[in-house]
Amino acid sequence: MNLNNWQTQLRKGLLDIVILNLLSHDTCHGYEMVRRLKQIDGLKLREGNIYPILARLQTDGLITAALKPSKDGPPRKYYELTETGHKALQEMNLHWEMIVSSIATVRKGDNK
Amino acid sequence: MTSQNDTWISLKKNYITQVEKALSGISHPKKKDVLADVTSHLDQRYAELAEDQKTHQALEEIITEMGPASDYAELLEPEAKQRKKILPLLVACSLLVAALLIIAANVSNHPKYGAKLRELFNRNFTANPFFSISNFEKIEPGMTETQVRDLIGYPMIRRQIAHNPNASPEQIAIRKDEIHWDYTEPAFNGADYYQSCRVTLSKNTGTVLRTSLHRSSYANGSTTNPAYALFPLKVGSLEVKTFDNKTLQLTSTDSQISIVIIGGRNSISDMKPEWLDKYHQQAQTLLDSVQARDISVYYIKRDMRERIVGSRDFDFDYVIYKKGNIYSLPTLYASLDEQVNDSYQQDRRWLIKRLMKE
Repeated sequence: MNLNNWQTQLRKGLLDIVILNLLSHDTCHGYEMVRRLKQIDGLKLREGNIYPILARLQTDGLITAALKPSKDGPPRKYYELTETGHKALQEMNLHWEMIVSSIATVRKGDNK
Repeated sequence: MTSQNDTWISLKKNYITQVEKALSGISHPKKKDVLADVTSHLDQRYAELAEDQKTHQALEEIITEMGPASDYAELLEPEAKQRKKILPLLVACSLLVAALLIIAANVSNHPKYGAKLRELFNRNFTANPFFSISNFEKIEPGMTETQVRDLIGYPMIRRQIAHNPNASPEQIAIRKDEIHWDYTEPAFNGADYYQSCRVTLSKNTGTVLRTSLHRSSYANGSTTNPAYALFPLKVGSLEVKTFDNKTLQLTSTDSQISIVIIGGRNSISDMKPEWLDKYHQQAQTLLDSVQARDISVYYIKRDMRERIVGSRDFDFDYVIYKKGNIYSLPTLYASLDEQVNDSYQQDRRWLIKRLMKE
């Protein structure tokens, strides 16, 4: 098994929930999101990865984007969670916890 | 300097071309936006470099840190990859299981949830104010959902084996028509475990099939989502800010029931009118359904959540306040399963009716 490949796929798969959780606290533009997420070692974010996900989440109606003026350059696209996004995130977080707890059960051998 | 600028233009152009090519196989409406965002991102990275930092190596590093061009199509339209590249099912499943096991190794032993549960239970939280082990022991096969609710209240969570990623196809086939209602109760003061109580009902008949009880260690508290196990919370009298910056006094001596809606924002100007309408409509529908038109509904700023539910981590949007106690109102968000969602609706009606009687 190629562990690096597996880790990469796993991280990519989790980026949706990571981005939505980040936006649940504050509106943010893409570059700032990259900056914040790169500070979290375990994510090992590839900077370009964030943009297709933001585009997809917009299409799905979970986030919206609005151009706002920037002090140090051209206007920036600020992303914000929609109400649907908030609700979907709650469900995603719950599902995530359920997965983790299910695995914990298997690891402990409680399901014999 | 000009030479480095030329190098950068070439590197950037080459990368954007690769991304464009990678995206050519999909028809997502936001393809052009992605290319524009990536270009803008690269421009910003370059602009942030001081002149003496613009070495060939540093410029290449920026491109490397963006990740391979092939990622873009996969992340923008995951289904496209599935259509294009059929992975052997067994390998995919193995990867998933292995992934989850490693996550669990890192997360399940994390003390976060265990500590939270212990802290909360030490503050006399239970699954719901109506639950008791003695009443749980009275649950028998054949009882209806209503009878279960009347004895032990609503569960902190409902689960179905079909949603359990570790369930085997055989288990799902046998138990696909079952719904678990899970309750949690602290064992007793000083114990390092709590009790998980489960009522299993038939989806088809809505009646009890069996019950089970097992002990869970606080250290592995992630097996339970504590966000569903908190209430009632004794908060006494409360002073909170509403959306329109008015101060709201909730008094513990007042027997009036209030529904408190905790908004996802801090300012009314950040709330879209349709969101407020939706909240209001949901609350009104609920009150109409229990014929309780005189219950007040308040909209509270998001920042007030910690004061009301004890922690910023617990994401409730509806709670009930009565006589200094906060009761969770089971989520109004539609569950993935219609039948489960209907049960949550019944929980909400049941809770209000019960509190009106007290």
